[in-house]
Amino acid sequence: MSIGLTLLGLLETGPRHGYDLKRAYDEHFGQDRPLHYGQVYSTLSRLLRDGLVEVDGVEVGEGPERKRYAITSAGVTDVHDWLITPERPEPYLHSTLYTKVVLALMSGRSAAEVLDVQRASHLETMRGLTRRKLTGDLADQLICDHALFHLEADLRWLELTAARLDQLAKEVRP
Amino acid sequence: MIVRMFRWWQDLMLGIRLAVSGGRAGWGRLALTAIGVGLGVTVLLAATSVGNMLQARDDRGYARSISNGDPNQARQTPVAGVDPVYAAQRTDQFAGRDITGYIVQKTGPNAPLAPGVDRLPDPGEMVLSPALAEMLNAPGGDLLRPRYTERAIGAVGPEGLTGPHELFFYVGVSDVADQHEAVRVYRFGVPSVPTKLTGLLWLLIVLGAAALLVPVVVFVASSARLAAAARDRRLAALRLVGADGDQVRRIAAGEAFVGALTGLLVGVVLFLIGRSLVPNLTVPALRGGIFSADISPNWILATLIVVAVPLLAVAVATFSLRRVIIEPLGVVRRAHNQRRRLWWRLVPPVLGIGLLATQGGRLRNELTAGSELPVAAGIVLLLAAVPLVLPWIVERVVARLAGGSPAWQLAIRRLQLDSGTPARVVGGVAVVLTGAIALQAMFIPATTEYAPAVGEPKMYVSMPSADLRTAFSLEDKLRKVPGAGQIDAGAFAEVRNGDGGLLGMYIANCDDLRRSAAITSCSDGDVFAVDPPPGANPVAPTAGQRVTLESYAGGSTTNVAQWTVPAITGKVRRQQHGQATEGSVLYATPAALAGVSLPIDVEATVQLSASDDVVVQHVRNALVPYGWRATAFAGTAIVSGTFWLIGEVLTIGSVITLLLAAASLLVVALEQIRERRRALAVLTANGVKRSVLARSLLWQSAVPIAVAVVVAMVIGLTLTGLLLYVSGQPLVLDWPAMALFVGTAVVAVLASTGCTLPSLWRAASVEGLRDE
Amino acid sequence: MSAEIDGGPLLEAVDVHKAFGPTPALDGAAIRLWPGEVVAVMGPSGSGKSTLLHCLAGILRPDSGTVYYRGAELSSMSDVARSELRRTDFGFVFQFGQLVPELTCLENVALPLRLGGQRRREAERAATEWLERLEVADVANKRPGETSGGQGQRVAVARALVTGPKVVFADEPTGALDSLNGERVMKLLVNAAKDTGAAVVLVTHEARVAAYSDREVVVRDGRTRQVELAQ
Repeated sequence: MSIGLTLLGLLETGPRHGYDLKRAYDEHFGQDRPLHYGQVYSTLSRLLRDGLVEVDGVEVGEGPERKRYAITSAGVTDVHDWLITPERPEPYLHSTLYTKVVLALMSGRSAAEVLDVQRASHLETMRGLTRRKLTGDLADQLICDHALFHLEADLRWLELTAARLDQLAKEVRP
Repeated sequence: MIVRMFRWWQDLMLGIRLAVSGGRAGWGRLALTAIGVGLGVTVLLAATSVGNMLQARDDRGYARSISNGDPNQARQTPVAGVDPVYAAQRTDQFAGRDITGYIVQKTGPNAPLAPGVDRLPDPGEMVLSPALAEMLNAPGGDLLRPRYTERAIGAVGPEGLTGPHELFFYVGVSDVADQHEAVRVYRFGVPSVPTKLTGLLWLLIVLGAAALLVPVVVFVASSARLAAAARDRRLAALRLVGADGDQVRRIAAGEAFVGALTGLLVGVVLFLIGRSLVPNLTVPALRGGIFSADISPNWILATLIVVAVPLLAVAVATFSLRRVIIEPLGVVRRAHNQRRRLWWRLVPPVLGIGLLATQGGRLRNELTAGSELPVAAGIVLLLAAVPLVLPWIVERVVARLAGGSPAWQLAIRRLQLDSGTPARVVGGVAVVLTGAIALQAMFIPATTEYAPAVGEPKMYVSMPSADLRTAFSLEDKLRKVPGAGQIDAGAFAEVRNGDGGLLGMYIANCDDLRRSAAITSCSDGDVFAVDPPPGANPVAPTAGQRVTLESYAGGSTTNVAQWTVPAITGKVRRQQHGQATEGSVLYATPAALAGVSLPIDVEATVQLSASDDVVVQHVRNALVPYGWRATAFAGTAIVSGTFWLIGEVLTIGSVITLLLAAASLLVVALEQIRERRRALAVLTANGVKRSVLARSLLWQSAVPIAVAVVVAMVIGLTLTGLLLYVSGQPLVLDWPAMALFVGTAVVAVLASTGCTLPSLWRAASVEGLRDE
Repeated sequence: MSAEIDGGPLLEAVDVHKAFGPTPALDGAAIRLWPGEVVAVMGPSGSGKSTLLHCLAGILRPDSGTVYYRGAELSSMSDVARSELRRTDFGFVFQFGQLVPELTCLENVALPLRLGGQRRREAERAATEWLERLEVADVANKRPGETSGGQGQRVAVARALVTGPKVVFADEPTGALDSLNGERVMKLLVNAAKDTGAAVVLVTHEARVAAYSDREVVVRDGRTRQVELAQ
């Protein structure tokens, strides 16, 4: 996910200070990984360079001066294009999980064990997300659900794999 | 205690609430149950009314009767202040219906009144029943009109008729007094005599009643189990929420109770509607028809029905819950489908066979005291065995079937999953069939006993007349009737010898005499002496001897005349001919008695081509010139009245039962389709052709009905054998009749299946997928 | 309502075996349920999840093994006693079909109370509260057939909880629902159970639904398996 485009999207709702942007970003998208200030400002300067944002004004007061940024029409176009462009579905064929399962089987370990442990771990994470979802606002729910659906997909793959362990074992072991 | 009562009450009310709610489907289910139970109740109420109906008819019949048929009581004792009426009964037939009535001759102004008649007719007048008057005026009455030319002075009221369509008359005639069977009547009405039944007739009645009523009970029971699957699902849901076994049973009882109660109401309403429509029925089997007022249920039995039907429904509903009570998950898990158990289903038939086996020959003649209960119970138990054993056998048979076309496969697999419902559906028909098989087998000996077959159709005409010439003019008149076959006419007189002995003399024309004896030459005026039968030694009077002739014209009056025996033409040998010449030692031609004034009865037989009603009517009309003296009797079978009545009632009853059975088939089949709507819709959605569904539906009926026919045959023949053993009759089976019954039953099942096809199409449309 | 008698488990199954005909459905399953906790029973189709739930709830009698409820042996109780337990201490939410189609939603929710002998007025007042709590007060007078799947399931949850049960048995409660309605039902179910202190046995094959639980038990080939994560 592009931080630049996300910030542009946030700016589309109105001009903001860099500090505001970071707070808004963290509130909506940054539950797991809050942005660093440095990231925000380096991104903003890149956007300025590309003409996607402009400095709307500078607030001078005590402490450091604070620039207020606004989105340009080119920036709006970029956000729009990004939103209507589908994400490329990424097949995680060579994910770490797959590698671990295959390795477990090849080394004669109990693959079911690997799967069960993995499921337990996944579920633990999912419980946390669910708890947050139950107390959070709509944005929280959306972002948690996104993660939950992905984790569920992993688990479904794990279930299927567990069901096919016998078959898989024959194919992997010479 | 009060708390528990309250909770019971709550459970019942919840059941009732479940029965009357549930939107369209719920109402549909309730309506089907109500119709099913209602039809049964209607028939049961009608059955309890039969006794009162027959009694009311009998009462009115006896109330207008002038003689109970006992010759010793033929003379009524005089009643002071009453001018007696001479009356004689006359019977007539037209268009296959009996016309009865009295010819009456008043002797004074204070004549007794017949029931329903304001004034007895004077000579030249008549009083007719409304139906007879209507028949005379109807376009088809041409051949009847010549016989009723008197002036109608009124109509016979309902109190003087056994039924609204009875054909009855009172005709005023001036010379009744000396006619056949004339009675001097001081008042109309004789005490009623209870009909005595022989063992065979009693058996016929009991068997008939059982064969008609057991299917009704079966029908009521299967109506109470309609939509069992939906109900089981509902009750399983209740079990899940924590209703215990007893509670669910009470809730189901409440539900069944509503259905039964509604059915009871429907039944009473249908009964009342039927009762008001009955007088409009003019089917020949009902003869004079039935007055609405005569149809009143026996209140004891009716009360019993009102109590028993809801109880039966509740009992059946509760009993059929066996599995659900064990299994709160009901539909969720069907792995537990127990096989039906046989032993308790065998109890009734074994008991029935045992009871009947102990009664061998006990109903051979009269009803043996103490046999009624075991025999009746045996019959009912054996009949009731059919719907009990059938589900078990169907289940076993179906379990062995497999393979075949997709339609067959669908049907068989469906039957394997649930053979109970279709088995119950055909159960009613199977009982009817069983009863019919046993009944017809019992009718064979009964028919030979009470309704012997007649040979060639004949008419018997009898007429008293004042002299021989008039008497023999009858023969000429009969010969002119178009279509009449050979006519034999003769009269019988007795010759009193000088020594006081009585000898028979047969008087007839030469043609007739030639048929009675080996006479080669004969001309009017001849007299023949007949060889006496071996052993007898009557002395024939000789020529010139003066003798006294006696005759019994009018049945009872002895007439006397003097006669000089003319020359004997010859001696002849008697041939086997008829009763007319029996015991006669002289054969005389009419001219030989010319000048003798002797009132005498002439009797003629007219041969008919097979049952030609038009000729019969012409013969009767040929008698009109003789007034009401001549009587004619079409010699069809002489059927015992009671046997006839039983036969008629059973015929009507079987038709009703068969209709009921067909209706029940239809109701249950429709309910089945309603219940399987979704499954059928899924099949159609999957591209299964309608024709395949239809054929599979047909197989679903055909397989159980095939089993049902076999079961019905086996139990029916067992019952027959036992009953013939009980009544001491030989076993004779009427296979064609049985084939007919079986065919009818099969057609009934297949036809009612056909009737469900439109609703199958509707259910199977993809719309059905949207159910629930 | 001090449920924790002597601190033992609320519900416990020990070495439960159950077969349908020749097919074994449970082959030595064991589970413990503590008061107030939500346990997910997971596993592939046909693994015996539902059978375990039915045995725990006393609907099915195990062929061998024992189920204890608050220390009492469930499998030796009479039908009447187990029925009463279902009415007072247990609540059920299934995938579908547990509502009585003939009764309105309100009557359905009031049903367990009325079966227990409560008067209609009181029973329906309590039912109304629960319908409001589960945000389905608007369908109170409709029949289950006239509601949407999500509404029907929420009505079912209301019915399961109306008696204040100790355990709610939920068998694929979201199985027939789309994600949105599924989430809504789960949220309401878990919250309501937490509020009333009811434990929940949640049979599901969906991880997302299982994530509403406090811990999970996996059933595979009729045997239970509990994984302890090294924290």
